[in-house]
Amino acid sequence: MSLLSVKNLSVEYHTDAGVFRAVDQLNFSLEPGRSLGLVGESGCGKTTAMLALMRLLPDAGRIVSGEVLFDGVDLLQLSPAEMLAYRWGKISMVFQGAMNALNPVRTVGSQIGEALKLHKTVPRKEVPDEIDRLLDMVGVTAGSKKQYPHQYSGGMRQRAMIAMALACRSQVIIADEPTTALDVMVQAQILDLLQRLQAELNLAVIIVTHDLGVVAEVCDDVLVMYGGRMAEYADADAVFNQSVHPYTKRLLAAFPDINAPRSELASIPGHPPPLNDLPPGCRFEPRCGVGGEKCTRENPEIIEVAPGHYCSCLLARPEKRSL
Amino acid sequence: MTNEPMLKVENLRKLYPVSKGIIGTLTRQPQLYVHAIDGVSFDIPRGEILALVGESGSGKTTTGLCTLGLTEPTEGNIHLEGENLADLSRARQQKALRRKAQIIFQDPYESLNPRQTVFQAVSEPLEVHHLASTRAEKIEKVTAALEAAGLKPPADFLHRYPQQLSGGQRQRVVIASALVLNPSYLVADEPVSMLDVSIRAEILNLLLNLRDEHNITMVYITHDLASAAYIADRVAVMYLGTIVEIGPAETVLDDPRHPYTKALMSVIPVPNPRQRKKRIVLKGETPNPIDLPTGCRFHPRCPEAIPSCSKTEPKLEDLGDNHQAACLLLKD
Repeated sequence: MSLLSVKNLSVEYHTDAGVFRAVDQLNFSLEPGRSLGLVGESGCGKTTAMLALMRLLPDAGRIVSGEVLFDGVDLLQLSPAEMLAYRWGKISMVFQGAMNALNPVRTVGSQIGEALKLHKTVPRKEVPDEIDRLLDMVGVTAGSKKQYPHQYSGGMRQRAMIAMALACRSQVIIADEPTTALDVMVQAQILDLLQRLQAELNLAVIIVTHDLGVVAEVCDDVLVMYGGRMAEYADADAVFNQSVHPYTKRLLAAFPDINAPRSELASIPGHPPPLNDLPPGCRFEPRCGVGGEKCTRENPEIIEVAPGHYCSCLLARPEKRSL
Repeated sequence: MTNEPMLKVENLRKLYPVSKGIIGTLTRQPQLYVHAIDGVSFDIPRGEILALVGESGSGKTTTGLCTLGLTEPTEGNIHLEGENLADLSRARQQKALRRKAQIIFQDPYESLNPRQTVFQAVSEPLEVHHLASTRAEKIEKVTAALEAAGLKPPADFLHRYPQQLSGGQRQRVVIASALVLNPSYLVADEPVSMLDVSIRAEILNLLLNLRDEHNITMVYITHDLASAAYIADRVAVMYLGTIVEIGPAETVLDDPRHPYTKALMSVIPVPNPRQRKKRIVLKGETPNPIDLPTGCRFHPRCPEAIPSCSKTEPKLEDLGDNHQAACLLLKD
């Protein structure tokens, strides 16, 4: 049994303008010590899926179907009080935009301390030592705990957020765009840190990003999302080197590769479909370029094209139908 | 005149005084300065794209702003098409400059006025410079600029507001309002870093296209060496206000000589898990530009530093093939 497994998760937003299905039939699983990269363009539903899993959706969001099994317990069936033990206790999230996620008028140390006291992770007396230990683990000098978030650089804030996510000894860390808006060198430092923590603490890590390069550098498995659905899901090597879905292939072709700097970058024409006006067939068909007439009518099912390699494309040749 | 570089920057320095505060003033503490740019020289031939690459605080944006006259250098000379910006009076300088030199900022979500239509945003420069006398002429020029920026058909976009556009389309509108004056020199400050990866490629291709078709000279400012490698003819790597390595893009990327460039190269994500390599991750961040390290500015973070690096400041050394780097280790 996997540590975390998400089955057929669907999420809708009920707004004045209508009902939008932001996540449709999402499946994935995660083992301790492994990392999953959740990749897609803005608006593909990757953050919504993660908020649903944490049960932190905004009021307009509804989970319409699916299961989120953590060690066999379906988090979606828990009462709000029971959920507290899991949210931050077992699964933590590092939000996008560390500056906005930290409280500007309290010191970083006291914010970590608050999490420790609330969850009673350690006896009250040991809280100050635990703050030092957590900051040390993420590479922030102990002296900085008395400083305020604005005195931190972008990289240090991100580290502080990670320390806070680790405060309750979570086994799963979800990092939403952890390196967007950071310089390349700071990005490398944060990726190093996440990789080190994953190995040292046997953490399961989910990295949500639109940056394929980040995923290629650090993730074991990759799930590519498009228009709320899974496009392709496999281990990193298969996704990058034996990609089947045309969307994955086109994303890769749009990414500059320092080892082949002068090969022409091919952008993907068009835009992701608006969720209130999805095409009748495959959601990627209008931008795909290689699809046939069938793709305009039929919504592709998810098939297993090779062991552990899933894809939702009518052109893909199935090994066997399942998942 | 034709062989003259489009832009010539000589020994540019820009210091920002640090506020001493009332106590500092009363106790006559010495004035401190932020050394944003500290002796930068380069030139760009007409029609070339130069990438300024570096981390936050390396002075790359300040350099770009100085070449546009948007901030005044403390020392040094900037010649644009042979004219020294410092020799021109403020008013004349602005008029001459704004017509031929334009900038594209990083964030297309912030650089457009949400209450202006695309037509209003793109035609504003024409009004400022009195370049269109009739509305028909204005529409014609705006349409041409939108088309050059890849917003086709232009008529579809004229009356839209920024919130009705995607990120990539917004950045194209920003580019169109820079193009409407037919500039010969363009500074693009991180034009793709806020955009999704799928859209970045089309904006980079658009910039390349502008150079090829309109012969626009460009400074491309970025922290991402991979996109610099894709778009630029030459690359200048900056660290703490100085250029540490400069040369043709292929040469610098194939054979980086400065330890900082090597480290930057090693942390660029490669979109293939089979090519994962050891990242040379530098500790800490760019140091405080008020209290600069002695000797080589990079030595406190340099993985290859030797004792003399903390004493002697390296100068740019010629490595042949227009390739220069400033590192003491290159001497032997």
